[in-house]
Amino acid sequence: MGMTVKFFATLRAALGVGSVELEHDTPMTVREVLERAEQETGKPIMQELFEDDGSMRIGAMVLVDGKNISHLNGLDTTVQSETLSVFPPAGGG
Amino acid sequence: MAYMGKMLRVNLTDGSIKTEDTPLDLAKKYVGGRGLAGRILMNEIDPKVDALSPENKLIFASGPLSNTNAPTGGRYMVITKGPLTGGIASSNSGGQWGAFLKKAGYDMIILEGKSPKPVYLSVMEDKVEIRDAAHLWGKRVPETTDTLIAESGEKNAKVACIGPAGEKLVYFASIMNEKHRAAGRTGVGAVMGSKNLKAIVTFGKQKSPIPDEDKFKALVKDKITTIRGNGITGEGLPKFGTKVLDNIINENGLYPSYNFQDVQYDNTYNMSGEALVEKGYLTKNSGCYMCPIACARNVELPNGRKGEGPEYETGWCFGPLLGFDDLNVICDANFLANDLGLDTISAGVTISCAMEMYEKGFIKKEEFEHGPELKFGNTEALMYWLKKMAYRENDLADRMAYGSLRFATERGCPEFSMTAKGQELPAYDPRGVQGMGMSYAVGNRGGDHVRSYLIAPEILGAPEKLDPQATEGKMQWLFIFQNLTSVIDSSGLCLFTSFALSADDYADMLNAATGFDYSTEEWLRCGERIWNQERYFNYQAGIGPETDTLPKRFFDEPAKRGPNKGQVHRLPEMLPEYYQIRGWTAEGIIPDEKLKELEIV
Repeated sequence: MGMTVKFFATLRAALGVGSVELEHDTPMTVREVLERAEQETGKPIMQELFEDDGSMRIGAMVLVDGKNISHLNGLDTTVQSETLSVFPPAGGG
Repeated sequence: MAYMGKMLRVNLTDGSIKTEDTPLDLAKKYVGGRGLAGRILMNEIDPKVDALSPENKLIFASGPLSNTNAPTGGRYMVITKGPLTGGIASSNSGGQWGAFLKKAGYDMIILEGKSPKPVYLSVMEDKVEIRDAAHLWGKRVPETTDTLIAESGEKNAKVACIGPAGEKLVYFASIMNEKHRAAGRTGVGAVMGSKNLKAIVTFGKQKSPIPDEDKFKALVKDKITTIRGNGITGEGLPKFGTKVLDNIINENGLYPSYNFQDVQYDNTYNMSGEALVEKGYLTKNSGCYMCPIACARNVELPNGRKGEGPEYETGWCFGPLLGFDDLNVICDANFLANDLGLDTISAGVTISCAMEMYEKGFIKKEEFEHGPELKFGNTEALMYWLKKMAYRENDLADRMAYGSLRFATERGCPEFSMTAKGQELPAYDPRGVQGMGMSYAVGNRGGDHVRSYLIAPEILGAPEKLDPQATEGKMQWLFIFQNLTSVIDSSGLCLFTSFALSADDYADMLNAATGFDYSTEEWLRCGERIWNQERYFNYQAGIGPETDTLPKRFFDEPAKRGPNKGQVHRLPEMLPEYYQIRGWTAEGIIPDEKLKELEIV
């Protein structure tokens, strides 16, 4: 199975890539996907998104096919071939 | 006490200029700016007057925190009866002008009547006078601004002016200050044009009186630290500006395209805030008066043209809403709209309405005369029709200059006008965000994103994450956001500070600056009073609860794709609860007891 992880805003600039493609045999959790993406890019991602206590930083978000993991099962949300969109803290109006 | 204590009353009909005391008894109830000037407007005009008649008044107002060191303390508001909605208009702008109004010694300027010829108002610390503006009439915003700074003899003077669109009474004309900052919405520029007033120049060096300077400074330092430490105000906004939202809103499935016929746009990345940086168009960011965020974009295009912007809203309505993603065209059109003095949101959404009308046979090809067809995806059409609308140069553009609702209604298809209370909607599709949709429906100036920005909790997770499709509990959030935003606006600060600051933070700064010593609840009570006062004005103007709704598209046409596929807006589930929380009748009327309780009557 294949999965696309897209990065935006300051995270995209920090990683130097817009997205990574991940191949996997069994379903993964969002946590595992982000850890794999850290290995692929060689740069930290989780610390840009989460506070030390594990809560999402204000303005940061991880979307699974557009749905925020805050309204799914958080980092334990299971994914197979969806697209993940990862945003560091951002906002405006 | 933060107020200068004086305000100007200028009668443009007879040319008289008077200085009056700022009504501090009212300021204690209505804070300043939007709130205080709204109350004064209600006291002084019949809400039923024609917005473009001499009987309407036009008020430029600062807040108590304008011209202080408080973060973003430089804003001003333009309060009047607006032509676009027919209700109370209060357009808010940044830059420096608001601070310089107070540096000249005044909290606000009340403009009455109509000048028999084009004039401008010069408000210098030592002299206020009405001057001839015959040489400026017809000029665009940049030339007007440069000319007036030169005439003032003070290179740091600040200019707020209208462009050709305001002179031509376009119903969505803006007032521009320092060339690029806009009091954009509800057609305040047309009211200024109707009074033959081209500009107001301000300059001075006075400080706002603060009771305990040291205490205030310490508080301000603390709040700035909080703003800089916040991910949104300290990282995302400075780096990418408001256009960082393009991808966020598109990926979340509520980014309207093709006149809200779709809820996503395939090529959003190409015109996003990230693309603006990666393509090298962004030269630097800059900030308004005393702003630690600095989200303004300074842009230079490959064709050499320079300007500020685009903001998120403008980039959207001059691009994906019209079916294209050419960042050059988007930026150029933004520069043009600023030069002409057009509100970008209403201009873009009116053009998108016309595109759908043409697609569906409500506009004939021959009406374009020799101009480009108003077809989705046609980049040529944007620049051409912006200019035509601003100058009202042909019959079609002349009708579009009244805004999309009047234009579509007179052709028998109001359903294509994406408006609430007659004002064009901003860039969040109500089908993807239930609370924000309600904010448009019940807003005192209709289609608007800055009266209660529920995108913060519903999408961005600030101060906490709410499910955008949930309806339960949302109306309590709307109530609090409307009240708090009324206070923030009226204080003279930028709404963006609220991503980082709490209601208690604003109460701290307002208490230290004004010496009022209110609890946070008492400040929010001022916000509730301001909100009800505005609704009461609208009701007196003939805009009743029957206007608390949205275009039927959002109820009848489910979202086509993305995470919100199949969703519609569920206003009927929420409206009764909103009225109840507000303490209004089940029909949405403010009862007399509520008006008395809030000391509005």
